[in-house]
Amino acid sequence: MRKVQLVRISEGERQTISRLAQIPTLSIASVSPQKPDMPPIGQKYQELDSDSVATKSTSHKHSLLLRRMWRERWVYALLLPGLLYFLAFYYLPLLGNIVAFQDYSPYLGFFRSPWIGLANFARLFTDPEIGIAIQNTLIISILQILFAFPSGIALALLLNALISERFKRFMQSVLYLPHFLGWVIIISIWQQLFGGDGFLNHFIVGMGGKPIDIITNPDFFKPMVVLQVMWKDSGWSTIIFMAAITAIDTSLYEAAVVDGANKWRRIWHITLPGIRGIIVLLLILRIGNILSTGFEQIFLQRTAVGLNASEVIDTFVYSRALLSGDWGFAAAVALVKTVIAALLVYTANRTVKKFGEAGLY
Amino acid sequence: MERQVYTDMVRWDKPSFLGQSILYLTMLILAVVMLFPFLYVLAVSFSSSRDVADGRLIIFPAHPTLAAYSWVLQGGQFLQGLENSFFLVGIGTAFNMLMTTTMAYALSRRGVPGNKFVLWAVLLTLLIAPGIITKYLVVKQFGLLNTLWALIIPGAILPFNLVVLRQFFLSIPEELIDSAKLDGANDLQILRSIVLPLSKAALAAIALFYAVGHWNSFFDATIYLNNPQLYPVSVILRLLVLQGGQSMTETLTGQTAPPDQTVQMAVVVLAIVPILLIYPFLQKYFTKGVLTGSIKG
Amino acid sequence: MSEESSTKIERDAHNIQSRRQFMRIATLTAGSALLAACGESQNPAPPVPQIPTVAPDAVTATAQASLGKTYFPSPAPGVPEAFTLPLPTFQSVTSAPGRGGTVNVFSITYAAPETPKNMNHYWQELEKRLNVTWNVTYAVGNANYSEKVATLLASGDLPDLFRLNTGIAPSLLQAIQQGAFTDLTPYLTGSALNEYPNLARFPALLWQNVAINGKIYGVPRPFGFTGGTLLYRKDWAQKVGVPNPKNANDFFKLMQGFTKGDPDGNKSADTWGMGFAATGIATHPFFMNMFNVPNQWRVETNGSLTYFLQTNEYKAAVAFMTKMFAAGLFYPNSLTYTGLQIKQAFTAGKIGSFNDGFSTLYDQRTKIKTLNPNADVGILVPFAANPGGKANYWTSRGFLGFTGIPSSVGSNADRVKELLHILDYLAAPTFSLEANFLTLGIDGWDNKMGSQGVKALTPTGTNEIGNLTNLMSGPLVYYYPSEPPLAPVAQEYTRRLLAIGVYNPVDSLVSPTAMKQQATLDTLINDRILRIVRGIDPQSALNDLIKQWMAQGGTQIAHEYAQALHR
Repeated sequence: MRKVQLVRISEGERQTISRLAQIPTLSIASVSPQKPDMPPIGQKYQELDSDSVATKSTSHKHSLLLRRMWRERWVYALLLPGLLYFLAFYYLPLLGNIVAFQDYSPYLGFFRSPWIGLANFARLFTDPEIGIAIQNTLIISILQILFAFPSGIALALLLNALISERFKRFMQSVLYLPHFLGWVIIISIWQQLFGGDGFLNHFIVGMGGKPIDIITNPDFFKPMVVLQVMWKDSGWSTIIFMAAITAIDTSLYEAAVVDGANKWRRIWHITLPGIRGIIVLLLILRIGNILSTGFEQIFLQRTAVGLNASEVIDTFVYSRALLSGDWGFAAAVALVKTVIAALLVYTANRTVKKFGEAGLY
Repeated sequence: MERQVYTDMVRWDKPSFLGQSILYLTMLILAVVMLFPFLYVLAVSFSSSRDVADGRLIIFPAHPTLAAYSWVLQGGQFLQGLENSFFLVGIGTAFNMLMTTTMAYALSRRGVPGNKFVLWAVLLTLLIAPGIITKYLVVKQFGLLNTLWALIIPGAILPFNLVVLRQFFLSIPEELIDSAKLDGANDLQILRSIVLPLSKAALAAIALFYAVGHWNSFFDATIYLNNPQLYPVSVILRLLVLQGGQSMTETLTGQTAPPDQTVQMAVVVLAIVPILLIYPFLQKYFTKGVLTGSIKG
Repeated sequence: MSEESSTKIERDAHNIQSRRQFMRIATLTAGSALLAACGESQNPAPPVPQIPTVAPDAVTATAQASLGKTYFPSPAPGVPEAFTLPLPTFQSVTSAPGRGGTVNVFSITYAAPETPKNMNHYWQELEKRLNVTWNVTYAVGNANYSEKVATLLASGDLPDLFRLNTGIAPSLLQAIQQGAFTDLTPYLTGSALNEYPNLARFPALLWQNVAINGKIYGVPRPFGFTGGTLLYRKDWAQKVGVPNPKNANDFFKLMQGFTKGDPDGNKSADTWGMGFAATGIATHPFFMNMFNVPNQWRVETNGSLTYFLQTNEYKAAVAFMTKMFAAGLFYPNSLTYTGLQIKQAFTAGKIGSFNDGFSTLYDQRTKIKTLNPNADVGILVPFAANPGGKANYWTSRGFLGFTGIPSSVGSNADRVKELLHILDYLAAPTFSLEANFLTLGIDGWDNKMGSQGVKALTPTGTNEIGNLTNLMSGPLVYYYPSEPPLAPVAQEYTRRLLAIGVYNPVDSLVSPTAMKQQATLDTLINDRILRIVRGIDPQSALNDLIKQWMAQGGTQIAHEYAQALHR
């Protein structure tokens, strides 16, 4: 016996599906095939919040609250270990960032190191190299968001379009491999290939041309860094997207095929929206981290192109703080980064929600 | 409940020959680009000193030898390191999954008082990096120093993995959970019998992230471990590269280490191969999805 | 003639006898090692048995007899002795240094972990001879050192012997200033030093150099006073017709020959004059030396300090480097390679010269010969750039780190003395009974007699000995068992280098601003100089750099050092 099931879906989803259908039939949501429509991952439900039930007295609300908490006791039980963990290993060490206000020395410790108030923060603003560091960091991060981020999605879609299961598995294994190589090896190989005395230049000179300057060219440094990241991590980042894609309800595809949608439209209207939640999540996180770039990758290659092109915040902190043992300054930079990151995440989340998307929280 | 298995696209429409060939060609080019450096690494690891002498790119060593590998393996430290790493990957990942899954599920429940606050607190940790020294003091305080647990417990939940897993859990249809609750199931049972079975792809992905993280963990090991017998394989391999690069001193070794580059590449291969063996077991979760079935009437 | 041969016979006889003695000692020690291997004794080890060795007088006599033949004494302060044959084994320490307790050590390791103690015969025998339980914690390579030090200092879990290296972790200077380590000056100066015979053998300059603001905080690990040295392919120099460069012009021709003259004779342009590691270009020793640039700082007659950056000599050096770069005489990969990679390029025959520590000489000669038996590697002693000018040589402090005693441990004077006695044991001179054990381990187990009567470590030995005692060693001596004639050659090189040596006048001084800023300034200077050398910036950019350096702390540093100098 078929059961007609009305399922809540968001307005965006309904519009999508009707667009897909292209014919003024009943929207899919109102007719059930064997099973009800499941919205794809990431779509948030509109929930009935019992708190919104108004006109209850405070004490009544209190007892309601307690009763709800009791009802959800299992959730609290499942929450507890993780919560304790975060308190112990994230928030407790956070207290250590107090050294941002000290001229901290490990030997003297927290209690005997002199207090210098905001001096570390002031140094942040007066250091002549900070401007360049911020600029380079932002450019590299933005380039990564524009190019490296979508490349994982694109690869996942390409993989998904493969017919042969075996070839798909083979490709997945191959694509994950670069992630396992450390930067030292990758850069060493890169130099062998593209360096002044490298394979590419041997080839060019052999053909009669002049050697080209890839690795030591300051103008090419930032794109080169992004290219390297794409090589290393595009494949690895498909893991999450593939996991998300497999969770998309196949009946959506079936219905779309029935309605005559071809491969591209299926990708545009089902697959992409289906993984939209994850994409948005990762994008917000990436934006939050905009002030971080990889350290090792840049550190290993920066001498050749000069500090002007390659100094980023992480390398900036390295020479000023870690080499000289200026832990207070390092902590100050970390605090500032955290505050900025929090602001960015908050803003990004608000913006995303304005577009009707499910945000981070 | 009925289960619907993910079906191949081929059943839905006829793929165009041109389209698929372009796709395959692209994939093959990508494969070459991704694989090529590995072939190089592999080739150098099997090279002898004569092959690397002029520093040219090698695809097939003219004089292959196992010298680099036998030199790396002869001290027995690699095996000891493997033991430690297997412990980390096995026990560590299990612990990670336990902690992460429970909290991710709990955070994905809506309407639980206080949940939003905890979520905020967790999200904030995504952006905080505790300093090395304070983390060390905390780890010391908990008595974990110089044990392998120092590499497991402080890293029990990675905020990123937690947030991603929660996102997957959020997409489990509310109806399934509600109907189970109506049947009298508590959250633990729901987690076990509904949510987890439906999230296999996500769980496999997160487990893979944790496992690889444990395998590659280097920095924490050097800071928290004093007993070299506890070093995971990543530290051992780094030390072997250092050892190979040492200048020969006058009175010393009767055996010459193989050329630095070959040792370095052998180390890279040894660092990758074991973890690659794990991957095929998890792969099936990424290609086939097990989807929710219907609520049959 | 007959006199010579009788001397030779005498010498041979002496050597045979000393070798026999060696063997006897070896079997004795092997015996005790086997005993140790049979069980792990929980009792404190008995004192080191008085093994008959050659008495000190006899050693001196042997040395005298071999003067100029197999033994070359130090010709000048700072130049090591050279041997082509070993001295007979002698005992340098009369009794076990330890009192039976535990000694915790912190050092740096550059090798895979040693065999665990309960299976490590060397380790057990070491504990016997030192009469302590010997535990070692390591930092994993130099890169890990700073962080490990910081965590140790912060947590207060300090070992008894702490390997200090302010070169790798400049922040240590701050901890030392704040009193983290015991002031050992009263124990290690004047007549007090004679309590430790091996430490007393250290060159006086070593003790001077390890002092910080006049106080001694640790026992230095001797390493030789040579600094950055230019190794080059002598066979190539011969081939391109510049075997004996005498000034900058000659040198330029030499480099041109290496680059364009096909010195390896393979008909392809695949060689370059010099390779350098880009992170060290600003103070590339050979160019500094040719142009007589002061070693970091120069003390003026009025007591003020001038930084090398500000000198005219440096300007000339940079101009020359730029000229060389423009002419394409530098290995193009220099901009991206690490020091190790440049060394590999030299071994591979891609570059004709490169800068490294003096000890690389033996290393490179051996490595290159296995690939190319005709190759000949030598050291280019710096010569004045212009006729009538002067050259110098930037010497080093003479040690590779020093071992300190944390102040928490150092409050107990007896304990300090015990620890110093242990360091004294570890500082045993080459050819002594103790040094032979420390470097070669147990005869027949950790080492085997190889060809030409030279002992070599077995794989077991390498794994047993590892870096357990690498925090201390005896004074540097030139002795190359696999290439004996190299020793006097190396000594002669060193003599010539140190003869024009200049020391860094502020090495043992502390400037608070330098502690905070030096690392950043070094990076900045190197970056800008590289740009000038590459031709991206004009030579005038040097003036801007000087101004920037002064503004970002340079003036302050100069002032502070000057004050410290005249305290």
